[in-house]
Parts: sequence; C-alpha cells; structure tokens
Amino acid sequence: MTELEARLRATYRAVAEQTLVAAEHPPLHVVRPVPLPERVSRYRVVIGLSVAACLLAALVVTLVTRHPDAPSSGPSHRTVAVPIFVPEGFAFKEAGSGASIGLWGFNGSFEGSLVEYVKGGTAGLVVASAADTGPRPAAGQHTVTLLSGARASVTSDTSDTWIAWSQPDGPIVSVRGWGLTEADLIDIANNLWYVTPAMFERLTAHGGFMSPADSNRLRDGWRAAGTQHSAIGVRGSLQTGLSIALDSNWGLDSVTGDCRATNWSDGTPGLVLLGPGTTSEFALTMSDGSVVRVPADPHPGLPTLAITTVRATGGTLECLDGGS
Amino acid sequence: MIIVERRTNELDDLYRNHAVALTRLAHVITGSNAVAQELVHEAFIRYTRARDVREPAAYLRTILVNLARSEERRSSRPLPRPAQARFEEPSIDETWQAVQRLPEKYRTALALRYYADMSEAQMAEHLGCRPGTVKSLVSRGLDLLRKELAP
Repeated sequence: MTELEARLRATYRAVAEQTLVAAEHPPLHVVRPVPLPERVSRYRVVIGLSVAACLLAALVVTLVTRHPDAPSSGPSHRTVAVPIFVPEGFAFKEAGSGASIGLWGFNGSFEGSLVEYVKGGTAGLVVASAADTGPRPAAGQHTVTLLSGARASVTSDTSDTWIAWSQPDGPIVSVRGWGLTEADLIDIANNLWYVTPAMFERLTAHGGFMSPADSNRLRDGWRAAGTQHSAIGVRGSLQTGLSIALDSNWGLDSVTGDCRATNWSDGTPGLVLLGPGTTSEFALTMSDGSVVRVPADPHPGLPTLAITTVRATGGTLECLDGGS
Repeated sequence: MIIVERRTNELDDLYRNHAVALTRLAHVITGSNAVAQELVHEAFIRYTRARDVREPAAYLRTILVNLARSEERRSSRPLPRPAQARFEEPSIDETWQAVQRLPEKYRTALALRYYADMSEAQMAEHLGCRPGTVKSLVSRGLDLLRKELAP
C-alpha cells in the first residue's frame, strides 16, 4: 500500500468515526383493522347504497360520454417531462418526484421530478422538471430554440452539458447529460412527453415496468378535432423505451422537425399532417393548384410536434409557423 | 397481517444492524453527513417497496451508492456541506478537503475501494461498469488526489 493509499484509508476512518447516524425511529406498529359493529342501522345501509348507486351512475355517464382518446389534461397541468427518445445503448435507471431538487440552469430549488437513464458507467442523462412557471433559466453559454419554440440556455463544463428552459404554459425543464454531445441533448429536449403527476405515477409505479399489454397500449391518445381517424399518443414503458405512435401501425423514432404527411391509419382517404411544434397552419397544395389550409392542432403533451388531419389523398405540404 | 408484522420486524433489525455502516459509507462518498442520513432513509424506503430481495444488506448498499451518485448529479450546485468536518490531524483534514474537490465518479470509486474495501468485481457491480473501468477510475482518482495534495 502506498503512503497516499494509507493516508486515504486513515482519512476515511476518521470521517466515518465522526459520522452521526439519524436517530433510530421507534419501531413501526402494525395498524390492525377495527371490525365494524355487528349491527349496522338499516337507515345507514340505505344511504350507503344510494351514494354508491349515484357514484356508479356518474362513472357510467362519464365513461359513455368521454372521448375515448382525449388526453387527460391540458398543457398547464402537464408538469413532468419524460424522455421519449434516448440515444442507443441507454437504459432506464430511476425516476421519482416530490423531492426538493436543484434544476441545472435555474437558481433555487424546486419540488420536482426526475427521470434518469445511463449507458454503463460512461454516459448518462437526467431530465428534471418542476411545476413552477415563474423562474427563467440563468444565462448559459449560448441559447438554442427548441422545436416547440422555447428558447433554452445551454451550458457545458469539462464533463457535462445541460440545457434549461421554461416550457410555455408548462413546467421549467432541465436536461443534463454526460458522455453526450450538445446535439444529442437537443434531440432529447425535443422529444419530451409532458405528463400530469398522475400519469407519471402510473409510469413509475412498478419501477418503470409495465405488463406487455399495457406497454403496447396507446397512452395519452389524441385525435384532431372532428375526426375519428388516427389517434396519436405514446406507447411503451420507461424500462422498454417510449415512442410516439399513431394507432397501431405507425410510429415516429423521434421528433426531428420535418414537415411531412402520412395516410390515415384505417386506410380511408385522408392524411395526417405533421410538423415542428411552431407550426400554426399546414398548407397543402393539390395537383390542380388549389391550396387547402388547415390549422395545426397540437397534442397537449407533445409540444414539439404540430399535427392535424385532412381529408385529402396527396399534394405538396408546407408547414407555416406563426410568423408566416 | 402476519406478513406485514414479519416485514416490519425485519426492517427494524435491518436498520439497527446496517444504518451506521450505510450512513458512514454515504458520508465518505457525498462528503455530507446530513445528505448521507437522507440517502440512507431513502434507501430503506426503497427497500420496503422492493420485492423478493434475497440479500437485503447488499441491496441496500447498491441502492445507497446509486442514490449518492445521483444526488450529486441532480443538484445544480455542489451538495450542501454546512457542517464540514474538521479534524485535529492536519494531514487528514487536508486529505479530506482534497477528496471533496474530486469529481463525483472518482470520489465514489475511491470510497468504495479504500473505505468499503470492495474488490474490483464488487465495485463494477455497484457502479454498473466493467472491472477494467473500475481499475482506471481508482488509478485516475489517486492521480488526481495526488495532484490536489501536491504543494
């Protein structure tokens, strides 16, 4: 053992001897259920049954009238950012929420959520988000514009790079990576799925795993107003990877900002139009020279992707942003 | 109900037997006694949620090392160290301050090697990397520490 190693061991021993251990909590007590009184008044039973019947009726009405694929919440309630694209070789490590955390690029600490992926011991990424809408990111080394239109500050040190921004009408977000390029991190930032805390809880409930049936199900499915075709949503799990999917037979590897069209998934004549999140309107020029303009109607949880559907079979597509 | 009681008693025993060693390990990795206590608490919470853990002590230690590493990364600033330990022996004090200045990955590797006395294979398992990488982390960590301590 070298002198340095011996010195290090002595130091660790000294530190360990000074370590204070949290006071041991009193033993946990098991709460035993208290049996109900054997005689329950008939009056109470009637009231109980009536309340149960009302709740059941309300549930049935909700299930019947609710749009089957309607996302559960608008953007302002989607306070947790979840990566739906991670570079090759990355594996889910952990996710959680509720702790007070520091978001890289922001001053202060926030009640937030984290999702972490790693690639062996060589690379990793953490996506952190918090519901606070007030804070703006500190000035970084430079700024980039994400496909949602959000301006993000970018900072690097010797090993890590982090991107921080305030999502319009959404949470504050910070993506930090090590062993990754800035371009990788921007791709990740452009491929975040914004979910409500309840949706996040379902995603993380079993360590990020889901049953094959649940994993294959289209989650947070959304359809453009006025059409019954082509629901877009997210499929997969944190452990197996998430992807943007259109019904059952089509999907996006990642959001790249391309302006493109694909057929309706049920085979009837119609197109799904896709563009960067800044798109306010799609212009489809038909073979006879006529132009059909359709407003973009984005999925509230995927702000970097503008989407709509149109009853047409072909043409030349242009994505027009708000300034065009 | 019996299962719950067994689990609770087992947890009490586990805490009594391992909390001190785990807190010390987290302290030497993170450099903060307060953070170490929080991480140990979190590790036990995760243990209670886990199923079919065959070696609870090993499981807790693995969780703790991962938490300690994540804690450093998820903070935008260095971890709070309000009550920085001071030692009467100047060489120990100087070494501890120098260790704190090392990047997280080297600090963790040195702590596992020279405090927890783990083999390279054990470290590789805890750190999720190859034994060769562990060797290089320890070697590079010592080099950096030597430079930090150089007059």
